[in-house]
Amino acid sequence: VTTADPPSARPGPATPRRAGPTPKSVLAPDRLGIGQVVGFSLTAATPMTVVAGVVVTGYAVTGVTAIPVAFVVVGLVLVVFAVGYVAMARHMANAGALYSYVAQGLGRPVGVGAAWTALVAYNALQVGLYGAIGAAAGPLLDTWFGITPSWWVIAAAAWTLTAVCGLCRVDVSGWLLATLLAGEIAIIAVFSAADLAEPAAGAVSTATLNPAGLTGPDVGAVLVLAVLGFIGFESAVVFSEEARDARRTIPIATYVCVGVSAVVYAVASWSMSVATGPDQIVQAARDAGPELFFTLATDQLGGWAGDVGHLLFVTSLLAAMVSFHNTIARYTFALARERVLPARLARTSRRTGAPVAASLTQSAVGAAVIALFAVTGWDPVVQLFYWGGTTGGIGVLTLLGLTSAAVVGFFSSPLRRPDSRSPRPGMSESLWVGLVAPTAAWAALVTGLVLALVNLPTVLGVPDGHPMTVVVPLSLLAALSGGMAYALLLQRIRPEVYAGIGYGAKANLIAVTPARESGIRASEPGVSS
Amino acid sequence: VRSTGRRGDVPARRAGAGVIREWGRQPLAHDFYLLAHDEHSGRSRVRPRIVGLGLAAALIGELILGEPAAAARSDGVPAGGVKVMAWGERLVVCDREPPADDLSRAVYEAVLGDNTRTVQWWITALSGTSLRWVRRRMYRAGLLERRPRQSRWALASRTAWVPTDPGAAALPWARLTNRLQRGERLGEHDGVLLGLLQATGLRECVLDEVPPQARRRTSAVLAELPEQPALLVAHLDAAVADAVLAHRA
Repeated sequence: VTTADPPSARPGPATPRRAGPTPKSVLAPDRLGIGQVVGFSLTAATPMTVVAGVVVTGYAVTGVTAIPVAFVVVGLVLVVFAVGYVAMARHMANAGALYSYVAQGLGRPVGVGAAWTALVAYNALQVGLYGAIGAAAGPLLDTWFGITPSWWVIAAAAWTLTAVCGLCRVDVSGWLLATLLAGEIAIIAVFSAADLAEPAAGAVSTATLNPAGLTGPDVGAVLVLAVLGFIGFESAVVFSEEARDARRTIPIATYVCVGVSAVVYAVASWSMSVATGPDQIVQAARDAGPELFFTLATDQLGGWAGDVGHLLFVTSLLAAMVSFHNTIARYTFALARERVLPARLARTSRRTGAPVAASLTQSAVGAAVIALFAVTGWDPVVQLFYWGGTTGGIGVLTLLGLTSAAVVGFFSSPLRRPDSRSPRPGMSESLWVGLVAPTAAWAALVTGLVLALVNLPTVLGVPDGHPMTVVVPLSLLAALSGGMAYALLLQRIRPEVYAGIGYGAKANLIAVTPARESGIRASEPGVSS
Repeated sequence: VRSTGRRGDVPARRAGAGVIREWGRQPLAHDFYLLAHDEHSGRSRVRPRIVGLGLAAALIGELILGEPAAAARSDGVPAGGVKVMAWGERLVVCDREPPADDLSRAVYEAVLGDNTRTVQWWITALSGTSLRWVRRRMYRAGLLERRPRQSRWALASRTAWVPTDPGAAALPWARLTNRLQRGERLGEHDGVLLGLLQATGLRECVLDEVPPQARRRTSAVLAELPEQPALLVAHLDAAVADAVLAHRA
């Protein structure tokens, strides 16, 4: 068939009403509103993990007190980032994964590099959580059962739970996560109110909210930590096909996710510094560790608050482990569908539909790291949780920077200009959406990344010349350049695989879809008109 | 580029006149339903969501192939022909005459109302209700009956949809197995059926009695599918993979 226009038929005379199937009734009216999309994308957010774990450890390790204002600043940057991001998401075949944006906007080699970087970063984050679960569950087990197991025993139990959930596709059910999320936010609000009610010097200090705190050389450290709190905001775009009025719902839901996270984390971390006094927060965090968030509040609220808080900290960590595990498994699955990773990793379970091969692979990584730390006796909280978290944070910052550059590249490509004979007219966005906002976000993210890399010893809380200051950037760089090299190799030896990069589940469609009228081909960046 | 030969020119072909009645052959969606469920207990062999996607693709497949059930007019006159086709990525209507069958007609009219959507979009959009509607069509055709299911939990009593005649329900399976074993040509209908099984992950468990040598032939059969059915199968494959990627189970 070579005709230029698709064959079409005019609608015939109106059909009589009948009780059987109708065009309307065969389509499920499954439409999501803003609230539901926000709910689905926030379920991966585990605020207690961020507040009790990341914030407190961040105060202790970096000695920087500007963490609250960093959450506000990063929130603002991500809102600007989201402007171009949600616009580009409408043209993406694989909207949930940042690397596919990079593949479309900056070319496939950088895309594969981004994908590998993302895998390293997300695995560092997920495995890092195993280091925190011991510290979180230990006090509870001691109080309730009088047992004090080693951290790695608790971590192994959490690992088992995660591995089983991953295999059974227990995508911890929506209402359970929503309940936990509501509980966490409620208890954080209560604790923060209690902290603010009893300021250290008798007066509420706003010193840690002063943007001037972000002018020092240590700003990179707090930016990396703050980014961790927002991971998951990018997933709202996945629901665009199911959303009611997606052009409005998805952007608003994304902004709401970023806004809610920014407010919760800024207020919680600020109130802690108020309760101890801004000059004492670092020392208090070093003395108490993740316990700080709970001890500050239980002084005023009583022991019950500590127990509830601890319990929610544990469930929050478990939810974060399962949700990161599932994210990594899906990422791996999508890359395996594209054949960027071995195709075998795309195997799913017939019964449960879980990506079993990818899930088992991630579990194996987790088991290896837990065993390594158990044998060597390295510190689980600082060296596993915190270093894992910062490595992940730097990786995610890199990924976000690449994505905002990709948005600029995508919308400024000749195909996208209104005057070009674009295969999809009307794809071009306004100057603000397609150029100004993503460029501003890119500049801010790259600045943050450079500051973090320059001050890496502060970020990691180690002396200058510590091996970790080389290992962390080198592992991310290796992933990035390894992915790029692999993509260039694919271009030479497997061009058909190379063509499908960035299309995730739809990678196979590229091979069979004829070039005519094909939207997925039309959005290729390299095609000149 | 796929070499499609005679079969590649699907829209030009009008299949109405020469429909070959095949052994136990049902509309595509019925065949797929029977293959995706246990013939005795009526339990599904894969997750209901995946069955729903497969049935949605099968309903579109009936229109793409211009199958008798979808094509015959209500007065019994065969008015066959291809009703919709994949145009690039999109699904578009290509015949003014709506199909006679109620369900096919509803799908046809839905597609008629919006020609901007991709095949995969339609598969996903229809998957929520396809199981219910296909069951109803099969129930009316006397292929399924409702039976209270003995539940392990005494409280819950659920209705099971069980084939009225397990022997007849196994016919599609017997036909596919038999043809693959004997190395016969599968034809368009069974080729698409095999593609749907492959995309939904059912191929392994449905064809478990086919010797490995014949099973290897299935890959060749799938590679030789004409353009339109191949596109349908590829879009179903992508829809199933996207269901794995979707955040909700």
